[in-house]
Amino acid sequence: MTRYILIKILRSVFTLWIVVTAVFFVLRASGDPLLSVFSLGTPEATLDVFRVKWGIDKSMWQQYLIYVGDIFRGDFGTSFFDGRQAWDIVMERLPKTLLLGGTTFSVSVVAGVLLGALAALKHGTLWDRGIMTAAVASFSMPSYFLALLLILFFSLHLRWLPTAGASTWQHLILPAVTLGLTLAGSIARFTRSAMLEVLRQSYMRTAQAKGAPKFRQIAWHALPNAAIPTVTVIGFQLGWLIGGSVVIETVFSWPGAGRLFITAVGVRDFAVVQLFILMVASTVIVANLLVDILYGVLDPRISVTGGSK
Amino acid sequence: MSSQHADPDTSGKVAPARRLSLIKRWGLAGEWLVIAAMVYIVFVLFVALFGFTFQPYPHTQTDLFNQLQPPVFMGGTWEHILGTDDLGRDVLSRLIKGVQLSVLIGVIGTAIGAVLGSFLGIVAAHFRGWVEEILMMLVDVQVSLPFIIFALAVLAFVGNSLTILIIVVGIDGWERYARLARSMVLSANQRDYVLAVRSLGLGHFKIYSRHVLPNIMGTLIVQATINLPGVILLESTLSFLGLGVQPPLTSLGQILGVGRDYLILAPWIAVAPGMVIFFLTLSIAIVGDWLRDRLDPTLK
Repeated sequence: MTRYILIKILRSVFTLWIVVTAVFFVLRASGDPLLSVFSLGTPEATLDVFRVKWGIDKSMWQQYLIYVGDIFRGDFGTSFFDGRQAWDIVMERLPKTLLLGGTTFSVSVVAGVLLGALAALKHGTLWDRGIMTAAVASFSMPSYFLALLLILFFSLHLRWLPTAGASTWQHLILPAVTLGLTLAGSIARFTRSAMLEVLRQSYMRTAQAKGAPKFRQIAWHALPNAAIPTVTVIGFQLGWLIGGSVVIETVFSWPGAGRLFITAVGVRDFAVVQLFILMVASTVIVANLLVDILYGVLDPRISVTGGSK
Repeated sequence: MSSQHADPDTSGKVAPARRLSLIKRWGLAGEWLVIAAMVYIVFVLFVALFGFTFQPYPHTQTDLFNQLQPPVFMGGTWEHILGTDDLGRDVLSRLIKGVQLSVLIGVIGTAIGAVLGSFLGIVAAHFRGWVEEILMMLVDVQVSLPFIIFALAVLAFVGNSLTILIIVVGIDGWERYARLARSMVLSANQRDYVLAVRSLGLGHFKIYSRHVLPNIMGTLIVQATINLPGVILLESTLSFLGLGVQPPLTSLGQILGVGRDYLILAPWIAVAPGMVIFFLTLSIAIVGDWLRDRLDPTLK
């Protein structure tokens, strides 16, 4: 088990390194970053001063080595635009993103698992069909369009909720609902198929035959077994959630890191974009690692065979 | 298989009997949702292919005297059935043009991902060893970064053109085909039919193209159908954020992006393309699910 986890961790670090490297070179494949900051007529002498200041007078490889070295020293570079540390800029926005993401994630996991389990238990009935149709509809809906519809109805028509900003808890509702609906939909779908699989097993018939109450059958025998595939899926949805929040934060002018990313990408602010991608990638990689380990804990058979992939 | 053949016509009502048997043969009896979804997809494809023949105005034609005209059912005129936008451009005409490009990008993008991913998956399964290690590592890399973030960064930094957009959108999802193709080829290589043609001395290329690929094609096509809505949504999201399709070209997402600024004054600009996308992705998802259940229940 320890060896298995150790190999996984090493692989994760390696994956992260590839991401960081790839992003570094892809972003620089676009030519002189100064062109996006300064207007065309700026004298060469001025540009040279800034080239030296930002370290882009050196060769690509030198820049890369300096960049990676600085990461290990906790220095993620400075923004080309306001000269502050990229770290400070992103950290300032992070709490809002965590608030939105955390709320969305917890609410939609609970809702998705409950609805999915309900659909499986009521398999073939109107409940099942209704929940599953809603689930498919929820992730076929472009999230930004759902956001606009909700704004149109709840903010502009009914005037119940604010359209943009993040000053009160009411501001949280619309973005969280928009993001959460899609997430809950896909979680419900996976929970349902996992539950259906479990309900078919012989141990469920045993539980039924020995006269366990319905609730105990579900909570003790069915749900824990259905949790194994569901946990994996929920873990993988984290990346999706982060991607979605970038869009939703922009639509609702939510002052989080996702919106910062869109702004930074628009003005080609290297340091901020790189740091954001580094943070997203590490979050997703750590989440996947945890899912892998949790998988082994939840299903001891996995560790014997040494991983599922 | 025998139940698929309907009784020969005896009553003389040829046409209805044939139609019934087609629906039955495809297992569509009672699947009204799937039938409706198919009809809608065919309709959208028709508009995408032949829309130019009945498009009322050029999609870029502005009419500054008729800005923000409401659609005909909201008090507008038949001049502009779905109203006009902020520059007086006909929303219906823009929709038709937008459907065209969105469908084009969606289909080509999906094809790129499917071909690329399946090819790499087959390569990984064939060579095993370090080739497989590297490719699977790339799969891990791809999974670790939400694709939309990668796409936004590439489009903003590398530059934007229709070609780059299609390639970027096409990369999305390659890792799913790669994993799928790899595991299917690995198991196919153990099967008797592959062993048989191999011992007959058939070359690798012929084994894969004539024997393995036809056997795994069904699953890959189902996977492509399941991926297609995601690709369409990705393009529309990028265009909505202003980093996808650029004017004078237009796509559904881009029209929505314009409509966002006029949500109070002219909600139809945003609602019309949004509905088209929503029903399109929903229909493809419904048909994809149905196909999967029918052709390949093992796939999830």
